[in-house]
Amino acid sequence: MFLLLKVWTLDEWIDEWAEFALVEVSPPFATLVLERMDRAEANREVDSGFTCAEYWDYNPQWLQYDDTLIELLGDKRDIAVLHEKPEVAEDRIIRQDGTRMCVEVAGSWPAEVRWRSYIKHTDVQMETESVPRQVFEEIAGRAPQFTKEVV
Amino acid sequence: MPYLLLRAWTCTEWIYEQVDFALVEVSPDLAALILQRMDHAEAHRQVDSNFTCAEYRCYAPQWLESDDVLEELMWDRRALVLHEKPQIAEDQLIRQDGTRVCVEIAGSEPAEVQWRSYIKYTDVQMETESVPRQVFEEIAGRAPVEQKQEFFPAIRLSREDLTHATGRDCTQLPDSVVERMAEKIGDALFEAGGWDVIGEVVELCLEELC
Repeated sequence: MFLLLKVWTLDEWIDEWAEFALVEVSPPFATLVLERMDRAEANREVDSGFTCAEYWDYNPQWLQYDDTLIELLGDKRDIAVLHEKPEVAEDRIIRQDGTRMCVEVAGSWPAEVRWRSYIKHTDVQMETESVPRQVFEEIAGRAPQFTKEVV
Repeated sequence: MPYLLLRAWTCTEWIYEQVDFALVEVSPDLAALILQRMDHAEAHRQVDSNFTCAEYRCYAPQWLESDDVLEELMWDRRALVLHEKPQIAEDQLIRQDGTRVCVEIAGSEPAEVQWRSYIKYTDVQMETESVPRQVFEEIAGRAPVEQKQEFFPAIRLSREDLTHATGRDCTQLPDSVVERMAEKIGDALFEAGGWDVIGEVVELCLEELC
């Protein structure tokens, strides 16, 4: 499975910026993410200041604007779950560095996951939309399949 | 109340406000809490080797623009422990938002701590230099306090640095000598100023310690 996610690049003056990330998520990987979410929620119970845990993870591909990806994501959606990897032109890929998976807890809300990275050779950060627990539960096979592929 | 004066930077050069320092009030209680969080991060690394950082909300720092007095206090150091708050002009302060204390793990190295924040109303991030465990141990009262405690020599030297500075083979020096040398170099830099004294100090240390 692949997650197609909306991306923000935190610098408006850079020439090339990412608008999407494509993340391959296998069922074992989704299980690992769920374990990390459980650990983050347990950590919040013992330390109310806790807000995020980060893990090295170079899984995402960061991509510039692309008409096909816009179409796959659909109107006003920030996350899509795809069964096949869409074709991506090599020249649309943004090179990354220091990529992390961030498991975030905000207040008493359930944990969510996003990816953050730097555009290579810069200190410009890119970050994805955050992904809720049920997406990983579905991929890990712990929740009933959604009727639509797009969340 | 102890204060940490840390080098800090802004992660874009295109914004008018540029941070140079962060002044962080660290009470013994906060130092103890940070030590607890560092222990937790190191335990977390044992169960998940990709773990690299845990963030906690913390508005303890004040973020500051360049200042001659602070510059003089810092010299070439990255971090200082001060026992009194230095005077700061209101117009030096940079307004912050989303400030966190970050406990970082790099490979098998001990955890270190840095603060991160955003300049208010922007998505421009500010970050401090990272601070090693012993600084918090000292403030929490768990480590012996040096006589010259207000100037913690937060300087790391590798054996390769020492070899480079002296032209002598320092690759076999024991850890205790390397640590003591870093401490002496910190003092010498404060008294004499500038990195040009490093070769001379290292030579003296080698004679004294080896």
